[in-house]
Amino acid sequence: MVLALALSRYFLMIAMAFLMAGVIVKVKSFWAGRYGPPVLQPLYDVWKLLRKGHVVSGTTSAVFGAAPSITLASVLSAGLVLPIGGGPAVLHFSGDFVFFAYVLALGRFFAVLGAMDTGNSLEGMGASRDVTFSALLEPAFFVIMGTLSMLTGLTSITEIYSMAASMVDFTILASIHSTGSSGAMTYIAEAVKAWSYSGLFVPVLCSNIVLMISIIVDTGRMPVDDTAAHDELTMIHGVMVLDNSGPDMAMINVARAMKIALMGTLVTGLTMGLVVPTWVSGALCLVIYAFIMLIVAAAIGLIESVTVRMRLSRVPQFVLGASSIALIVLSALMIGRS
Amino acid sequence: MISDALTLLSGILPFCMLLFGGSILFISTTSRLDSYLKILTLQGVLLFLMVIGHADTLGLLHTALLTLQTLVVKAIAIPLSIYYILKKLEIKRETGRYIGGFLSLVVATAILVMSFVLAVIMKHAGSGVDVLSFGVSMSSIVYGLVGVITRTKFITQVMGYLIFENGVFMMSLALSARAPVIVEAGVALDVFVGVFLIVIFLYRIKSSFISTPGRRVDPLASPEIEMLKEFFSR
Repeated sequence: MVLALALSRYFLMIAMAFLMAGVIVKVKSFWAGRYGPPVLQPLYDVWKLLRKGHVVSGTTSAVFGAAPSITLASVLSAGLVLPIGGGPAVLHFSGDFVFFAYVLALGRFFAVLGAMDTGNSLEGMGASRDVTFSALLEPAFFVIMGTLSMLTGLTSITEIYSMAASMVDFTILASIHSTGSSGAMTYIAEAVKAWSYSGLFVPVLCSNIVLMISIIVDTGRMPVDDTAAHDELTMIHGVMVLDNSGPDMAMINVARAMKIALMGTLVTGLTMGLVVPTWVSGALCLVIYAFIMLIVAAAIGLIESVTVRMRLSRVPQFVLGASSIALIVLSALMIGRS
Repeated sequence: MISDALTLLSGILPFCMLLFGGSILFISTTSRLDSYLKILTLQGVLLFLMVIGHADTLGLLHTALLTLQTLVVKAIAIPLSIYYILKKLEIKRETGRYIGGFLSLVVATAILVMSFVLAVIMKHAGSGVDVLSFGVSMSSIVYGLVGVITRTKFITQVMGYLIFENGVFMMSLALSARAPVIVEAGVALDVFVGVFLIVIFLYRIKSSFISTPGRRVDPLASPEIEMLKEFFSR
């Protein structure tokens, strides 16, 4: 029963992946003054690609054929360890955030191999950029997860997130206790104060910022990479799949949408830990989860609309900025503990 | 009602401080002067919010004075005058910094880390400082000084000094309960900045101050050295 529930939440996340991809495009269109494609367009695209045949270059080997499926499989299995909508993940064990990061890295490794396998110099260039940026981003993710696990004393994502949620109960109780039966405004003000001065607020906010930067870098969104670019020399992710077509391209599209949903789930989980008390459970939790996910998607679309692509030489600074924030939080907490 | 609003504002104080810390990280990477200026304005507004957040310890008179000072001087007057000067001198971006953007970010990170470590150590020693506030203001002070040293244009050096001064202001806010006058004395530093700005404007200082580096003299000296070598080898 628990497993069935966890699996249903997992499928909700997969559904959210397509919806988020659609919402991002919708927000971008809205910002550009266009009506934009329907929200479910990414799903239609995948369906269209699945029915097509595919052309494979004669210079490629078996790696090229296997790469998209391995990438998709890695993304899908990484999602198994994420707690979705306040409930436990399908799988959880201590140290599962390492599993999460390295299963994703495995997928990226094969995506890079697939790109290099074609012998196309532009694809090789894109692969090299992708690896550089993700290598710079990896410390940020681990430092943030290390910080959270140090804060809670736990090492599984599910446990860390449920611990974060119980913190809210405490703050809300504390604020009710301190205000007594006075007006609602007083209550809200006291709750905000108690909430922001609780030990969790700063680390969680910083973690969310770092994770948002991870989404942007990892999925090649606007200040880092332009998804609508047509110039191969400036692209990162788009250039890596120039040779893929048909069902392979469909798998790559699904994997990309899923990646946004995975990182988005991490952000949403932390945010829910801050705002949703533990006694809210069941379907309501899932509704809040879906809502926050859509807000994350809208935020990505908004950032994508209002920023311009950075010069490639500036991207490492941006990525390193994420690691900087993570490192500062960790060092402050670490000294505080010792 | 007003007291609730004040409680709410003191609730968002940590958020203001985080934004302030983030602005230091951002400033370290940028070389465009207008984004530098925007960040300075943002810092002014954040300081204004922080003063209101500290209203319960400052008292009515000091709060009124300080909000006026931060809003009018830090968030409006100084950014406007810098904007005017930048326009007059036609400077858009800064080139030839002593350390590049990437290294500068590393330096800013190191400064923030050290400041937070210092803050936590001080807290453990029983001094009762607020870690977030002290860490951010300390790093602002140190980064401001580093900015003065590593930037080359006079106007950016003044901006670095402004960051330093914002840090001093923020740190003295933490002590406001004991001596609010110190905070107001800190605002006097703004007058100093005003003098800088007037000097830049009046003398139209556009170029950067770089002392002639030794290696620039080398090519000039080399013909003579060659001659000397020739002379001695004969």
